[in-house]
Amino acid sequence: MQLNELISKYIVFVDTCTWMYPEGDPFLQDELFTALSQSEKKVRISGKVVEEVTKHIKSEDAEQSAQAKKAATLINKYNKQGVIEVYQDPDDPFQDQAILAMFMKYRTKFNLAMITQDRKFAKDIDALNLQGSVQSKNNIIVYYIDRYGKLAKWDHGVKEHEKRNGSQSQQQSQTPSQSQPQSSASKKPKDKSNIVRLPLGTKPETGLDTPIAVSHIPAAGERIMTDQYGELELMKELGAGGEGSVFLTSNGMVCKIYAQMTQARHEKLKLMLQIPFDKEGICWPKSLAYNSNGECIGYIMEAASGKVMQLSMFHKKLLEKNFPHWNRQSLAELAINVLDKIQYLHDRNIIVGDINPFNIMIKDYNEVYLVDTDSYQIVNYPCPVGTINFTPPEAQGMRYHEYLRTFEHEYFAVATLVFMILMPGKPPYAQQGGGTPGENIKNMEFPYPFGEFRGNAPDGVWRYIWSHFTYRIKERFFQVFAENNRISTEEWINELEEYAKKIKLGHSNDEIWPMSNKIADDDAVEVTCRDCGTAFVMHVNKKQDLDMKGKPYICNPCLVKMKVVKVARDEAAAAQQAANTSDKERLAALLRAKRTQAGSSAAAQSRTPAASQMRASSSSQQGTPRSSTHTSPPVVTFRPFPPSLGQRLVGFIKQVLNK
Amino acid sequence: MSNLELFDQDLLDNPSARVPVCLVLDTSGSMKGEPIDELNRGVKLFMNEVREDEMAALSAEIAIVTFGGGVKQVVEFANIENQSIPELTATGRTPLGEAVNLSLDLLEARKKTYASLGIDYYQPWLVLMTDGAPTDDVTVAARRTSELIRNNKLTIFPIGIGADADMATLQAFSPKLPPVRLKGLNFNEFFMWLSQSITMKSQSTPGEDVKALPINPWADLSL
Repeated sequence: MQLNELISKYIVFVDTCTWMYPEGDPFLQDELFTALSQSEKKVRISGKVVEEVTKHIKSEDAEQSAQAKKAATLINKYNKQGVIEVYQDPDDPFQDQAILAMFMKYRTKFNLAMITQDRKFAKDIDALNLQGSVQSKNNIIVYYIDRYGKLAKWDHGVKEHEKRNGSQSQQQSQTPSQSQPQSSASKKPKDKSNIVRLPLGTKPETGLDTPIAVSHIPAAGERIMTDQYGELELMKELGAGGEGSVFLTSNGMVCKIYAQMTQARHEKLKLMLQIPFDKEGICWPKSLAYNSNGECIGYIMEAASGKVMQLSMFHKKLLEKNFPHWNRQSLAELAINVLDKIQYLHDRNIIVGDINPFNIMIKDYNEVYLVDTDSYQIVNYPCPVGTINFTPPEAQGMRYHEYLRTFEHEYFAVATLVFMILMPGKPPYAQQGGGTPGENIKNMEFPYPFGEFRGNAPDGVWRYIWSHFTYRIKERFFQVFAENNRISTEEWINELEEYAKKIKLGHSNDEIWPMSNKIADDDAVEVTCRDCGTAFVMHVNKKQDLDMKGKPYICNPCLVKMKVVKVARDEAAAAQQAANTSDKERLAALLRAKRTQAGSSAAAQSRTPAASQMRASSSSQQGTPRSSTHTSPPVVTFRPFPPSLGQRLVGFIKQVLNK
Repeated sequence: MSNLELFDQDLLDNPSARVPVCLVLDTSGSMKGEPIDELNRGVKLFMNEVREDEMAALSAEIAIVTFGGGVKQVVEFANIENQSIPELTATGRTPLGEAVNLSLDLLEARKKTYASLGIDYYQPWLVLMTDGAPTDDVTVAARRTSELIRNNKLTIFPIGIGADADMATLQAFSPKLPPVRLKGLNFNEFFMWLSQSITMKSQSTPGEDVKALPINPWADLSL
């Protein structure tokens, strides 16, 4: 295409690197400048280009600085001539974002062209032509300036001369979607070159909570209109929450209808719909939904199946009731499958934000669904909710809608989720007697033993489970939770696959609830329990010790039973004593307790590296909870669990009030 | 004494986090007649609701202490499956202070049991209901609850029954929340709400500050 045709039919952008390209002069100074001046057309740049050039001028790299100065001069020249437009609309939610988002937004309206020297960027933009449910022609062209100063076309990251020489660019796959069978999480290195990676947000979108008035919010039995699926009927309400309600519709899909439609919700949904998305098990918006007056009231998604993780597997008895066929390998597989979905999102720079067991539905360990996808963090739209147990120490106390999560934040939540799956329902940090959970997380009080650290987790089933983990799994958990050194979702998937394999081969315990600590094969000796007669395995040193003292062999379950009986007796005795205590004695005890409170917490503190470091840098007084490192007062907002109950609760209170 | 063996089994088999709840109920003479009948119905509803809910049944542990004439523990902490619904009768004066003291001691003892066995627990709830004024000295008891509440080691629900309830005394036990006066004898609604709060707590993970949800509306309450 001739340059004149290009600038009259296409909206042409020029990337920072092209402005700064040393060999770009013939084209930028002369050819393009002249063509624009004569035809009275303009070239566009985003505000980001101005930012970057300005930044590079101050660079310590002399060459880079010189190039940036040259670019600035060039841009000023264009500006003086009136042939350049800086694209930065203050009301536009995309103002701070890279071109990719803008291209996605405008490709249905205009023909777009980008001139860039960056191969990867060129590939990403070209890929937009292939992807998407958006019906539009191949109207995005990507160019570069070759070393002779001539405009040339990129072909999916391949330069013209490279093609002529026969050197093929990698991965030319034309398949637009990354469809994954539900149960797969294979070890083949995945081809991720064609994935459209969204830009990472730069600052959270706020102030777009302007409500959009809606004349009527449809209810069950009524009809709604959709872009993709025509008219549908709302068959039955599946659930209601603070945000709105979810309905099963007549085509088997699910419709979420907001109680309050806002501009932010609408914009975010539109963005989500533009993103090419094809992953089973993630309930992504597939279409907007409208009421009979054509007003947007929500969106349509695939239905999820199964039970909410939080409500189905975090109590031992519930786990056994709902998934009786599971063993430990199933737990590992479950974790792999959930993380596989999260990885899909991470590959696209979509951050879940509020990873928590209320947002995950389980049909079986190989069939899981992520729900509440409209709360995900996408570009500048923050995830406005969070869960304390999944929030990393550095973010404890911050308001979720006020900051954009990073992958570092996210990886903490991922690790916590993996932990809570492998230790069903148990959060990583100590709960008893210590501070609030937020404090425990900030103080990194991880109670499980590893290496030299003995840990202060109480004897019991959780300690047993921990002891049966492979060395690697323990190492990884310790690394994240005690040393504050996080690993990525992908790395977790690898670790879990290894773990599952070891269990399958019989090298690691397949019990979900082991009854005792792990004993290495070399140290194991079989004995018989005096009380219940079952054979069980004991550490050879312990057996010798008992033999020397003339004590009997008693299996763990029997030991625990004895302990429970003793503990119950102690409790009864305490109750009896309580009834006989006078007020005077109570008062004295109260005062004594207050005096010793200050000194007591020191003994219970964890000695993990991160915990020690946290304490060393803390300036708080001894014994009082560590204060937040953030300047804003620690206010954590979070979504009620579960939303529907929260609504009813508030309703009940109001009823009590109003009677 | 109750059947220890049965109670032990649950502590053994069930590692779920516990929500210890102690109901401290006025069964003094003034409750005779309709009030005590309604209270009995409310307690029955409460215990049944907890039993019916899958999650609450695994987590909630209820104890009941009454004060009317003397102070008596009528229900001990245990799994709901192993508990029977008490039949309360009204008689005598109102030793509220002694009842609260006993309840706090029972809660402490139960927490120790959990701790010894490595069982997670939420900070306990104490539900205090009275229709009049105490006939004993409540100073120490009120100091204890206030101290615990300030350190986030206790949640208290102070409820006044009927027009003669001494709200000021109830307030003394509760530095953070104002007491609520039940309109008429609407025990059912309150106990329904209480059981649902427990369900919510059971559905969360220890450490999620679920109480910020149910408690907020209370903060808006006025006498």
